[in-house]
Amino acid sequence: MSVDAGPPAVPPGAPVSDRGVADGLYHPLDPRSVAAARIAGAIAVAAVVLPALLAVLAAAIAVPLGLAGALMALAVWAAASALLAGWCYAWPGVRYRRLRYRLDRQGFTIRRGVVWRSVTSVPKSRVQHTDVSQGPLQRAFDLATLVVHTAGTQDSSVSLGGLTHGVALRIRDYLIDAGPTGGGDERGD
Amino acid sequence: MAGTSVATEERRLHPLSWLFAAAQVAKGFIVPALVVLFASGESYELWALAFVVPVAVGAIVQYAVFRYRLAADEIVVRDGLLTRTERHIPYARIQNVDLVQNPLHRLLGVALVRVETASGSRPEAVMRVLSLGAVDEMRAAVVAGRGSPAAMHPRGDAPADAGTGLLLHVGVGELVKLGTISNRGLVVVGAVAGLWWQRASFGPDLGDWAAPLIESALARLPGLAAGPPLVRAVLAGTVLLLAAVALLRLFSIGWYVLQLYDFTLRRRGPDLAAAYGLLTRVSRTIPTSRVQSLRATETPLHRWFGRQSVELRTAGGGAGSDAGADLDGAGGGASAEKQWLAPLVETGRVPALIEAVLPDAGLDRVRWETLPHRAWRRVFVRSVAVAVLPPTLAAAVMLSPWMLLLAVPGGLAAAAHARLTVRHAAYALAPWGVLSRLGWWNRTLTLVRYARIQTVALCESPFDRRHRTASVRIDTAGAAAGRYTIRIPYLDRETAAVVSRRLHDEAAHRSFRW
Repeated sequence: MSVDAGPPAVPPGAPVSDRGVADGLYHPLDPRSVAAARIAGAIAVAAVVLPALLAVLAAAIAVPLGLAGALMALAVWAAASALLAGWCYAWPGVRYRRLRYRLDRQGFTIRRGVVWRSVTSVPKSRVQHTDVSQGPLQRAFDLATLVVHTAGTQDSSVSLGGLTHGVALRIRDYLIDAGPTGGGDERGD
Repeated sequence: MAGTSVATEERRLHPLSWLFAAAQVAKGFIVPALVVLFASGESYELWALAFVVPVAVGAIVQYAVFRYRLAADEIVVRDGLLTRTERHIPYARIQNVDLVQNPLHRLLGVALVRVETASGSRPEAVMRVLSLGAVDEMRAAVVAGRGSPAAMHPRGDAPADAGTGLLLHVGVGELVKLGTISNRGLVVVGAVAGLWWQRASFGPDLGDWAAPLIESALARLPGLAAGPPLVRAVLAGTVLLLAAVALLRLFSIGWYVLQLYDFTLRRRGPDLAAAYGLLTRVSRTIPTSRVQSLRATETPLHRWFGRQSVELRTAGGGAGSDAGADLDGAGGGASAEKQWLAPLVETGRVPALIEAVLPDAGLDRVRWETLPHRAWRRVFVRSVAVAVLPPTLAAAVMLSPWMLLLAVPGGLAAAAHARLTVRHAAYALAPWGVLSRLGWWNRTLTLVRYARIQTVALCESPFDRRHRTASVRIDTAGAAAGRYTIRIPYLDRETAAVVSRRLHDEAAHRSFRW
């Protein structure tokens, strides 16, 4: 269990093994989560870039910049937009490659991070309750976000987005399946 | 002592409850109203007073509708006039039954009672107010219902069990030391500044008369009247600074004497009971089985006095925000669930106190692991950046290479800091839990049972990767906001992986009960 994400234990998209979700292997997220994240990024970029273009055009009209000045402003806008778009295209892939999760009889482990890396382990006996949620974009890609709640303070909820919906449901069922502790205070965060 | 035979009958609050409820509401209105009246003749906020009357009526209604029942295994609280709520609080879930008595409470023989469970940041039920007899019955019912073998002692501050089970008593002398050590005076300064601001925004500026006062006081100091202006300014600044520090410490001392006067910690069955306060007396039980973490702190001033402070954290309702600062339990104490086990105690007695909470701690048998020696370089790089960057920038900006000389002491200090940090840091994995020691200037010792660990994280920053180190973080319930309960930094990367794996396994094997 090193912070370095080694080679993926299971090829992306492979069905979860027959032993169920708690196979003790490191799995990547659903590869479709990269596309979903890129679309979300594209929407965010458009929401920033298009108003900026309008602002640049308005400024070019209101302030007599001259043709060269206006072209310069447009060039700056185009460069900044391209950088932003490039980042939003590349980052989901980088993040995807560095994220693995693992489920075994002990509990749930998430290994993630590109620059700052971490391996967070939640013992099964500490899981208070879990949520599986789906946004509109996630529904289109059959993805889901799993949130595991503990009684902790900093990590009172550990969330993992970009799981296949069915897998998220199975992990949830496994985690809330009466473990060593059974119940516990449900209002615990 | 009443048993649980009368348990099923419904009870009300003390008949004088409406008085305290109304006072509580009025407090929020009257102080600002007085300030406004005092500061200016304007009366628009007087309209606010019109709200007081209905709210006071509400307080009386609240008394009329509030009922509670001590059932066999739970407290049932019924409340509400239009929207009626019935709340069931199982005894097994109750973390704490706390008592708060301000002078008026004490005069009338009543107390504010807070019933805390592990949920959220607010007490599960606040009973404003109960007679002391009713409090004893409730506590007895809770203890009996919880099934713990604790004897049904009366209230912690009752003289009946004086001298028995006394673990710690903190006298005024110790509180003066504590005030000298701590910065608590800032709280008082904050309150005064708030009042000042409120006052200043309505009436004439207090600074208008404070400034000449300070000036004339300074003028009387010998040696200040003469001398060049620069010397005078520096001297005056120094004197002011010293006076401010002294004043802060005085405020601190006053604060602690007020809050923690006659702090006593007693053993009550398997649990502990603490009582403290000069005017407002707080008495709370600390169920040892529900302590989430323990921490002993030692600042240089602590060392000077040969003392340490020990605090514990529970998953309780947050009303214990720093020794009962939030006296009526109504304000947002938020997530601070810190309680003093010992505000100040001789360093030699700390292990015994810790073992009162963790009987199997065996502190003298703990095998401490140290950090790898090379970790000091990792610390050095970080601290040298802080120490050397400003002089370098200054040199660049002022184009004077002499400023770089300033970086030399900074670099030396950073090296010393790095060495000392690594030398003083240690951790241990005991049979029952994990311990960590951090800091060489301000030192802490933190203890967490494996059964209290919620999550374990192994973290690696880019700097860590460069130095092949990693840190392990442990999260528990009731931790301070924004902080992990235990952080073991600068471990060897492989060691960190082993430690975090072991912690995860140890936690997973144990079930967590609040």
